[in-house]
Formats: sequence, C-alpha cells, structure tokens
Amino acid sequence: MMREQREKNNTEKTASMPAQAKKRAGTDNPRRAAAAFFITAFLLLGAAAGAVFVVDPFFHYHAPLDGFPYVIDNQLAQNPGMAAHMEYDSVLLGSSMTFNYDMSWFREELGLHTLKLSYSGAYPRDIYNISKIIFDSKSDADGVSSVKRVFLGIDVFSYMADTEDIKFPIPEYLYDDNPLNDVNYLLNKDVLFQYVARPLFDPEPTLLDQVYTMSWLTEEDYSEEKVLAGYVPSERAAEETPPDAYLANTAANMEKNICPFIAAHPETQFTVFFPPYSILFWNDVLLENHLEATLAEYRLIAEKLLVYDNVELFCFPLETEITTGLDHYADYTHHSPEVAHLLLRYMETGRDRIDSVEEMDAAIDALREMALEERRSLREANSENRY
Amino acid sequence: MSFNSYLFVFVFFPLCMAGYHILSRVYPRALKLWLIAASAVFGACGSLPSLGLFAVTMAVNYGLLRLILRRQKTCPGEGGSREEAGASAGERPEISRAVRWAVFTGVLFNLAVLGGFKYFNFFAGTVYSLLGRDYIARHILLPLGISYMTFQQISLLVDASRGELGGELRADDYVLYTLYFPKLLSGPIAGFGELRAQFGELAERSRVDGETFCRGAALFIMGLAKKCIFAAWAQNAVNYVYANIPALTFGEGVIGMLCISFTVYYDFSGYCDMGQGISRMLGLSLPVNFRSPLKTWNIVGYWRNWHITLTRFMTKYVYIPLGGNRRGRGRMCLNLLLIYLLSGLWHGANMTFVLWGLLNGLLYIPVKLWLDRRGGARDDFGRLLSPVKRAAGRIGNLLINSAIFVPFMASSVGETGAYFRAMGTSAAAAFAAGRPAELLALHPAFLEVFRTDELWYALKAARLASYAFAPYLCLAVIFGLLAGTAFFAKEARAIAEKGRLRARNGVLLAGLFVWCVCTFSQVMTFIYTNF
Repeated sequence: MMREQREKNNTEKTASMPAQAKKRAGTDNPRRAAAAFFITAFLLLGAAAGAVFVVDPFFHYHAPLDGFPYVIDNQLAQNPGMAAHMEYDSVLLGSSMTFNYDMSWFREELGLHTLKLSYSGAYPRDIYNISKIIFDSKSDADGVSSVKRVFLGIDVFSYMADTEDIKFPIPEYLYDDNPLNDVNYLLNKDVLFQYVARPLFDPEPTLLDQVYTMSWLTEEDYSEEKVLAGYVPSERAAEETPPDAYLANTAANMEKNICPFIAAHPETQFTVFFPPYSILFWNDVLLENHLEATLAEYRLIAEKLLVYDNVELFCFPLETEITTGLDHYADYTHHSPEVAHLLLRYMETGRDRIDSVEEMDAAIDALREMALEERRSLREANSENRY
Repeated sequence: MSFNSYLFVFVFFPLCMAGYHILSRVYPRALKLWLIAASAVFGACGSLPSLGLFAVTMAVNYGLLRLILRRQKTCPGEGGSREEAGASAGERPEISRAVRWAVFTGVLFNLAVLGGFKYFNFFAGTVYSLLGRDYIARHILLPLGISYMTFQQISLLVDASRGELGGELRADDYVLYTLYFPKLLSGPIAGFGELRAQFGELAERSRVDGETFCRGAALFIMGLAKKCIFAAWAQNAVNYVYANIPALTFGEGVIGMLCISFTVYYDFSGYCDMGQGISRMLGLSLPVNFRSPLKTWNIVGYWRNWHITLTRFMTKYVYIPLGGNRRGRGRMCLNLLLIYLLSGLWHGANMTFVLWGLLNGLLYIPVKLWLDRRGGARDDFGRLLSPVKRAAGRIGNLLINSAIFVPFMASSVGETGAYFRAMGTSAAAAFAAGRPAELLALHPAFLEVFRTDELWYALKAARLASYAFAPYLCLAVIFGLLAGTAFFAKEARAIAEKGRLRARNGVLLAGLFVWCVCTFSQVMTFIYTNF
C-alpha cells in the first residue's frame, strides 16, 4: 500500500511538471541503474581479482607461470611468495649487504639452486619471518627440510634492535595464512597495474639470478672519490658506550630469531658471515665511541653460533685489503659485486672461517687493531681532522 | 575502520544496511538500537579503547545533561525552554547558578579529556622547551574522533542549558547522536536538535525509496572518489615537496602549495560526502560541511563555505559569548583572532596548526573589515563581480589560502620557513641569472609524481610515452583535473541529487567504485640502500 501511495504521489507530481521535467523523470530508472551498477561492479571486481589470482605476481598462491614476464623488485611483497612457491635448494638471507650476489655463481661454482630472499636493512625479526616461511614450506611432515644450505649475512648493528622490531612494515596478508585478508592483494591497483598489466605492455622480466642487485650502480660508482664525497662522519660521542650495552638484545635476537632454525634443522648447513664494511664504518664506530660494545656483539654472535655443528662462520671484516680499498665500495658499507664474488669463493675455500670462540677472540683483537690503525691513517691523510 | 576500507565496503556496510532495511519493515522499533549497535561496532573496529573512553565520557555528560534538565524542570524560569520561561522570541531565559556550574563542569571535563589525550605532549613539550629542557613525549592513546566528540558534547551541554534541545533528552537519542557512525570520525559537528528530530521519525524515514537510496549511494561513491583518487593524486605531490624542501624550485613550491589545498579539500569533503551519502541511504541527513569553498573569491567567503559546522560551532559557542561584534571593532578583531587560533589548535597538537590558525585570522580580519565597509549583498562566489574580477579573485584566494596551508601539513614551524625560503632562493636565483622562466622549472622527479599508473597506460596507448613533453602532459592532466573539478564542477551533492538514474550512469559509478576499492591497499616501495 505504501508503494502504491508513492507511485500515486509520483504520478501526481509528474502530471504537474513541465514537459521537459516529465521527460527527464520518465527516463530515471533506479532499479535499472542499480542493476547496472551491481552487475558491472561484480564483473570488474571479479576480473581484477581473477587477473591477480591467475598471474599471481607475488607468488602467493602458486609458482610463476611459464612465459609471463614477471617483475621482481619488491622484497617485502614478493619474498614470502618466492620462499613458499619457487623451486630452490638453498637461500641467501640478510640485508642489502647481500644484494650484489649473483645467483648464477652459486649454481655454477657450488652446484646450488639458490634463491636470494634478502631485505634492505633487515632486522633479525625480518630474517625470522622469511626463515619461517622457508622452513614451513620446504619441510616434510617430519620437519626435515629440503633446504641444503642457508647463506646468512649478519649485520651486527641490527642485532641490538628489539626482538620484535622489523625494518619496514610488512604486508601481513602475504605473510599469514588468513585468506580473508587476501583482498588486500587481489583488489590492489598497484598489483594490477604495476605487476600484472605493465609487464604485458612493457616486458622487462627480472632475471632471478640478479634479483635485487644494485643494478643502477655502474663500475664508476664504486670509487674512493665518490665514497668520500658522500661520506658524512658520525658525531663524536664523549662517553664510551659500556661494552655490554648491546649484549642483552643481541643474545635475545639470536635465541629467538636465528638459532631456533639452526637447531631445528641439523640437515641444513648454515653458512653465516659478517660482511666486510669499509674502514669508514669503523671510523664511525670509533667516533660514536662504542668499539668495544660492537666487538662484544661480534663475539657473542659467534659464541651463539659455534655451538652448532651445522654452522660455519666467516669473519670477512678481517679482509683489510678489501676494507681499506675504498674503490671497492659505493658508500661506507656496500661493496661491489666483484667483492661479493670473492667472498663467495672464500666461503668455499674456508678462508676467514672461524671454528672456535678462541679464534673469534683473535679475530676481534685483529679487528680492534685494524680499526684503530686505519683511523689513524685516515686522519693523517685528511688534515682538516674531518675524521 | 574507515569508509575507504575493504571491511567497511564489503562487510560492515552491507550488513548494516541489510539489517536496517529489514528491521524497517519488520520491527521499526529496533531501528535506533540497530544504529547504535552498528555505530558501536564501527567505533570498536577503529579503536576499542577509544570506544571505552567514549562510553565513560558519555556517562558523565549524560549525567550532567540530566542534572541540567531536571534543574530546569523543577525551577521553571531558571533556564529551560523559552516557552516554559515565558520568554519572548530572541530573549534567552536566565540560567541558574546550578545549571551554570553543571555546564562549566561538563565543558571543563570534556576539554580536560581532549587536552589529556590530544594535547598533553604538546603542552608539556612547549613548557619544557620554554624552560630550556628536553621533553620525551609519552605514548598516549589518541582516541579517534575525540575532537568532534568533545565539541558535540559541549554544544549539547550549552544548548541544554539554554533550553534549545527541542524536546526531551532520551538516552537512546543521546547515545545515537554521539556515536552515529557516518559522522563519528570526522564530523560534521552536528547539533543535537538537527539529528534528534530525525531520530524521532526513524520508522518513517527508514522506508527509503529506491531513488533516494541510489542517490545516496552515488554521493557515497563520489565522496569515495574524491578521497581515494583526487586527494591521493594531490597527496603524491605534497609528499614530494615536503621531502625535498632544500631543492624545491619556485614552480614546485607553488604547485605543491596548491596540491596541499586540494589534498585537504578532497580528502575532507570526500569523507563528508560519504557520511552524507550513507545517511541518505538510511533516510537521514547530516548538515552540509563544504559548499565549494575553492570557488570563493575572498577568505571570508572561504570560511563561510569551508568546514561550515566548525565555523558554526565557533561562532555560536565561542565568538558570540565573547561578545562577537557587539563590543566594538577592536574587540571583534580580538575575538576573531582568538577563534582562528583555537580552530588551528583544534586541528592538531603542534605549533604548525597554531601558526595556520594565526595566519588565517590575520588575513581574515582586514578582509572582513574591508567587506563590511564595502557593504553590498553577500557574494561569496563573486557572482556579482565581472568575470575577470571573479576569476582573479578566485585564483588569488586559492593561492593565498594554499600558502597559508603550508604550515598545516608541515612537521614544524621551521619546515614551514624552509619551504618558503627554498621558493624564495629559487626565485631569486632565476632573476639574478636573468632567466625568469626558471621560475617554472620543475625537476624530473617532481614531474614523475604526476605520472600515475593510469596515465602510464594512456600515454602508452596514445604512443606519447617517449616524447619529452609526456611528463608535462601528465602534470597538466592531473593538475587540470584537480583544479578544474574544484573550480568548475558541480558539487557532488548536486550531481547526486540531480543526476539521471540510468543504466549508463550505473555502469560509470560501478567503474568509479571499483577503481576506488582497488586503491584501498597499496604496495609499499622503498629505497634499497638503507643499511
């Protein structure tokens, strides 16, 4: 009756309208408009979600499709999918210090099918997050993993962070098993436009061997001149940081975020290395007045790792020929791909391997001496006392 | 949860609407309770602790309101409605001391809550700074929508003391007024009387016909597009300019300033449109908060049409009680300055907002004095001016208001200064070099900001991507859409009200809706070389 009343009211209203308004009123059809809206929206949403699901540029559901020119340039979004759905028998983990490793070296020289799953500025929790996905997806029902080897670069400074800290917010929906929040992935304009459609328009597929490499840097960018031009020394700290200042968090990070995987997977060999930062890094450590605290971290990490039989540890800061040659660097920490290749060879030959805590103590003494000596040289070479 | 989220669009909103319209036909008496429950869920999804705080403040405020109303009933003539007091139109009944104390206590309580949660760190930091000491900010929960909540409670207390509630105060009306989800997070600052009458007619109003519902949906989608698309485009430019202040050119500074205006306008007015659209689908109506303010030709007109309900609140509850313009011109100017300082502070706990408010006030006062002296009919949009003067006025007004907006988005007063210094340096260098055209110089990275994904495809399809002018074309398209819509387009409300409800428009709205939905989540990119 209410509807009849409304229609009657509409009819009376229409009857009293000017002709043009009557004509306009006559073409309005809310039902048809609503139907068109819902059908179109349903089709478009379905098409968008379907395209993302089928192509799956973040490998959240399946391995890459043959022939699709995938772009892989987003560690936060693509690493978990790669870890879960790609084929590999070894992984490279760590921060941007591991970006310049070429996976073809691992294949040709070590016979390994290695996947780079690094994160820029990785904190230990970031390593934990990706390691969990790796071992959950590559282990059988008995928990035995098919991952033969894990290459892990440890940046000591990250290990003083809180055990739950991550460097950047992660897209949780790509790291968990909750299908409901996958809507963030399936109905995502950036995914659709940048990773599904654009590769089809402009195919420039990423070669997995060189994924995440600092390809924007050329040979000319690795030079002492450029490094020194961009280097800003740290502020001097008057008070020395106590040697044990970082140990609590470092120990907690090792115990919570790194060692559980080593302990749970004795079948996997963990090749852990401390990357060789340049002497400018050590200069900053001295300016910030926490050399002993930093060295104590190295020692503690070594102590935590060397109890495991399936760990081999390398201390590459000892390579003073590398660390003192600023032509090997693009900035105060990031070395060239050539250095990365050399370090991989050292990992195979055993050079700079630390087999005991005593050897680590000797390495620390050498590092201390190196840092102090090189800082003296740096200051002598730069008379304005910038350093 | 906000309106532009998957949870709202695909879960909360459909369930809320379905339940509402089913109850409308089956059991209308439960409609108010349904809306209260829905609003509580909406608030809880945003922040459960916030909802808890609101419950506490509502309990206190409601108690004070009941005290005020009871006092007025037992002592007629001491406040209460004009009719009860036998007052003539325009004459406010005398307010008793008890009622005054209740209002004072309530206002103080609400301001204390706001101050404690939103401004504690700001005030403490300012005091420490004045004492030359470092202050470590405490981690304090900031309840969502607390600024709006506070002003609404204050308006309710004052209106109750003046007998202006327009009827009895039912608990369910009060709770629904306070929590009503289309306005909970970002207003508008609705008066109790505006909504109470509608809540009383919920059973009838809820029987929304198809046309009204469709028009409400259209308004919601257009508001969504303003926020998710237009504001996002402008925000990209704003992010760039603030991140690159030292290298900012004059041209980038000007475009950046304008984009700040566009960002705030489209984001805020878009959200208000969405709230209004949802309300229409419920058969209700919220007060209008924006009336094409970027089309005004002077700052007085601008503030008459920008965040209208805030201006209304400040006028009624601060400006007029302070004397308004009834105590001489000097006092009027002081009152106006105070209004703008308070408005600035209300927007955020930072000296940048105070600066923004101050600049508005300092500009508003002379323009108001000039307009008052000039006399003539109110003409916010310059329709009584010649086309040339109107255009010049609108462009000039937008430029000035945009410049004033720079501190609004800055992280500090220092950053504001650095912004304008960079522009000045760039301009001075251009003139010193005898190349004034360099005023318009734009870095490639700045132009890149305007090359959205959509335009990337458009350029590819039109085979224009490789041309040197392609980035400038993107700038022209994006900026043109932002400015053109602000200057020339009809308001979303008007389009929703008068647009044709046809299948073709349904298809267009669906496309716009899906486009917006796909912007709810983004892929984060970052610089690789962070250690």
